[in-house]
Amino acid sequence: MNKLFRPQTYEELTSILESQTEKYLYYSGGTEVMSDYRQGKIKEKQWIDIKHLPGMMEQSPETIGACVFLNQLTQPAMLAEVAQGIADHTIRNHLTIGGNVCGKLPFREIVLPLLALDAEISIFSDGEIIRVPLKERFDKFLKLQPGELVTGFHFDRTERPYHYKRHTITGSIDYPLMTYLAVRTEQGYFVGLSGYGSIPQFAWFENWDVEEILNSFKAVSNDRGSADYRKKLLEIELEKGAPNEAV
Amino acid sequence: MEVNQSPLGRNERRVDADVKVTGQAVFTGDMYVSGMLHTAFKRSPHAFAKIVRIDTSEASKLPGVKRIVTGEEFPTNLGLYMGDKPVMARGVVRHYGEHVAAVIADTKKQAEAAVNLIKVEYEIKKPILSVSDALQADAELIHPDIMSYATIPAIIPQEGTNVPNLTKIRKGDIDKAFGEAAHTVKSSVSIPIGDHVAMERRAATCRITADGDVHITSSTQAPFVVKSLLGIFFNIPPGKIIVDTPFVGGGFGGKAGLQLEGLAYALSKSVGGRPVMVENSREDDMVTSPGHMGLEATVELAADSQGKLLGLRGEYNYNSGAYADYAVNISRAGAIAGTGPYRVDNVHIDSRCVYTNLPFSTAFRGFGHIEMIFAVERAMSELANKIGLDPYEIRHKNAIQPGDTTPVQSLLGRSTGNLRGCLDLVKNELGDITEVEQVDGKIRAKSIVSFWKAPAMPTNTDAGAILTFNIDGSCNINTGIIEIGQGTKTGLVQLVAETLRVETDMVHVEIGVRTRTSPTDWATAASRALMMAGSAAVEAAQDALDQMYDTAEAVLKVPKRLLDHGGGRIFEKDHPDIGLSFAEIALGYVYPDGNTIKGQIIGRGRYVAHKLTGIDPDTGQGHPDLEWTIGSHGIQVLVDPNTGIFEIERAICAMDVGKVVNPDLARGQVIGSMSMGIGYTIYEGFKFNSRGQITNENLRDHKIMRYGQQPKYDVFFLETPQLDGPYGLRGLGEPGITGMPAAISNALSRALGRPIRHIPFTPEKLAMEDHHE
Ligand SMILES: Cc1cc2nc3c(=O)[nH]c(=O)nc-3n(C[C@H](O)[C@H](O)[C@H](O)COP(=O)(O)OP(=O)(O)OC[C@H]3O[C@@H](n4cnc5c(N)ncnc54)[C@H](O)[C@@H]3O)c2cc1C
Repeated sequence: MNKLFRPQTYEELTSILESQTEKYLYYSGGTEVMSDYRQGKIKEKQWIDIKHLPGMMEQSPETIGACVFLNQLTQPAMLAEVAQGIADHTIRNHLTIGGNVCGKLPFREIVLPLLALDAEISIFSDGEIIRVPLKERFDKFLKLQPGELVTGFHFDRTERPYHYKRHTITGSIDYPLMTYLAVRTEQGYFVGLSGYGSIPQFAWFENWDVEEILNSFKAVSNDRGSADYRKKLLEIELEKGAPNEAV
Repeated sequence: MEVNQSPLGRNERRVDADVKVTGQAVFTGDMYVSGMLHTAFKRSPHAFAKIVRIDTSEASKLPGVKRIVTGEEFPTNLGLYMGDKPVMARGVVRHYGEHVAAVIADTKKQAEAAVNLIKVEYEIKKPILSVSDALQADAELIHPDIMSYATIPAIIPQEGTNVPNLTKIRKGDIDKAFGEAAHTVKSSVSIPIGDHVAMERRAATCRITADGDVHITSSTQAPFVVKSLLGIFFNIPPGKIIVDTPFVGGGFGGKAGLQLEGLAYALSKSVGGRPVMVENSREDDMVTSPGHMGLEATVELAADSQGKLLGLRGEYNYNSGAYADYAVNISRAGAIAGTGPYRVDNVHIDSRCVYTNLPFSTAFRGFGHIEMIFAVERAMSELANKIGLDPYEIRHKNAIQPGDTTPVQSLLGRSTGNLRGCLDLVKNELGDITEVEQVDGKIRAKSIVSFWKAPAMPTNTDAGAILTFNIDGSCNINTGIIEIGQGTKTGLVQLVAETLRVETDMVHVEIGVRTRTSPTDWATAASRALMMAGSAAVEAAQDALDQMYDTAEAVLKVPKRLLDHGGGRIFEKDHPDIGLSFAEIALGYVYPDGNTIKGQIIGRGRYVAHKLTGIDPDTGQGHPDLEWTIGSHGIQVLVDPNTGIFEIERAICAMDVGKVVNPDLARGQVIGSMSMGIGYTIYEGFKFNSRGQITNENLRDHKIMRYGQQPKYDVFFLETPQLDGPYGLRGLGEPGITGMPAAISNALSRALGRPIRHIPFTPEKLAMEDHHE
């Protein structure tokens, strides 16, 4: 039988963790966990629902809690727009920002604006909460030690000029063939891609040199489309120019 | 609702609406009985392999496991028109996902846990993944015993090949036609196999009781086909088989024929007749149960200098996957209709059903016509381009008319629908079809195509209806026809109310069907339900009226010919205030002194298709086509030629349906067909790797249309009566999908200035010049 824990405090969480002899998993929005479970892909029997821990649902100028749902993200505009591109409305009512960053699927689109915004991330680690720049921990996926838990994100809400385009092979509700986010930063430009390769790709550039930007990303070929087509789509977006105008 | 309006032709609310939207409708998967056992299946991960060994020893030790069975236990083959499919794989697996072993356990979880412990050793073979590979002379035979399978005579397997059916059409002199032609074109198209994606997944339960009765409950479109095939394949007297069908959540052809019922029976039998539930998950439903066929086709057209068609040469190779199921007859249906709705005097068609190592397929809305029409209409547009003729013009000029003959040389009579009228309606909406507009770097373009469809069914296809009455004079319709959401039962109520001249709330209808009590009916298939079960229901209502007139004649002492009926009464024509209500006569007339005469009214109605024949194996000559529903589609697209991303802005359908019984439901069927056709053409279809493993067997990767993605639809109906249909109606459930791939292809081809021929039409195919072309 599966067991579900619902800790209200970090002390409670710590004691639950200490009592664990078997493998467990964190349960946030559950959209990935439940669909994997139905397909028999989840082996863990102990589930820990993290939504009731302090701060997990926080939405303050300083912090967005890890369990805030995608439909609740409103600021800055680029974050809200990327969030609104993910899955469908019903799913976004359950899908959490932390879950999207930590999930196993290759897209993790919400990582792109968070990186562009130089977000910091709070992690519950060994009984305490630490705060580090997201980009220090994110390489292909979020690097977490066993037991570590993302509790929130911290970033500046100031609007910045950006370009966003999400290409799919069917309608808007589909995994991305290429999600493109280009943001004007203090030093130059951030360009982030999801669906373009098998992991989210991103880089910072001093100048808007289409050739240079295009060549710094690697496209994959898969069921959704060929690498050549992805390259073509990226080139079309880059040719539209740098995100210099405020939106 | 206007009280005085006749029930026919009005927007009656669907009889199944309230229970469906409140979640009260009970489907097969909800039908638990106490002691019911559950099942899970070991599926083949390979597309083509020998089974060397199956080890169930670990699995059978798990708690709750009652039995584990493999295919070897059941020597029987199942099938529909060809008995080519073992109950579960025996010795060889022929497609990814094929059932290899079954676990029967107390709970579904236990069964699933045990499946994970079954070990199967395979010897993998190189799978055949395309029709063209399967047709190579040296191709491995997927069914080496093809000639030993039981078939119906209409199916013609080809010895030593992967072709379980070849239908030939030979009409006129094709070589002469091409020799004399001023213009010829040749064009090839392709369609991948895919899934129906009915909302309700397939399910069946079986229990065998002490009296030997075999009780099946199933989400089937064809309970009487299930009954007869179970009888044949398992040697059970038909009267001992009781098939119950509750609500069915969509079928689109995927629940016609024999599906999970044979498996449920075999598994129940293996545990001494205990109740067993077989229920597909979505993933199972997509690859272990059949989907729709694929196609590789080439059409050559010959025309004179004015664009009049002289000849058509067609090569239709349908991909049926690993087993034939309905596919053998679909390839036949595609041939019978193989010119599209045009007069063509010289025809040469070879239409094959071809085995490959992909998941197998069965009937799908349109039954082979959607595929064939795509091939013909693509060629028609290429011909029009070559001659410089307007796409509307060339279709109008060649439109089939009463007095013309079909590819199988059957003569079209007065009931033939008005194709020219349909083409005019579509053209009226779209204007100049050849106009191409530039809009902010995008291109807007249009298309027009024609379609037709005839049922492909046994020559003795039948239906029946029984009308019983209640004490208030209301009646109950009992037919064997299945409601899968198409609205037939609502239509039956309207037809019976019209005939009896009562309000529709005086007519009740049974949604479920039980084969031991409902009159025999072939199936919900071939868009035939309202025409055939409707004919039977109208006849039953007339029969009931005759009986009520008998009673009234006796009581009122006025000859029948001087009586009339209306408003739930039978009355004297001369003195309408003198009469009897249906309530007074429905269960026998009771005199004031208590004496009673005549007893209850039981109306009886029958329908059987008339004058149908098979077709000649060498020429195709015959009369297998009962009625043709004819129409036209128009499409408008807006394409970004750089990214290939496009929008279907408008979809138009004009169809000659004989008589519109319920305008909203008719429109709903046609819009539903068009929407499904769009998904089929631009999104759907299975993807697989080089090993033949399906890689999109879920709805996150196999996308279907959503509400928010629909274009603007326009639907027009013409009413050229079908003389043998009730109140002149003919079938309309399927034809609205049949021209959609062609219409979308032709609009995109016009926009981009090059032929778009390979479904699905993804943006990538449109953006990358030589992609797959
Ligand atoms: C229908 C559907 C469509 C989707 N479409 C898209 C899409 O278009 N683009 C896209 O990027 N993604 C998409 N996803 C993927 C989705 O974003 C991820 O599956 C995400 O992980 C789900 O978040 P959740 O809150 O529901 O996570 P859960 O299912 O609760 O958890 C997912 C995983 O993350 C771990 N986890 C969750 N929260 C934390 C945390 N705070 N700290 C540490 N570990 C944690 C869990 O242990 C688990 O392993 C889609 C998912 C679904 C179901």
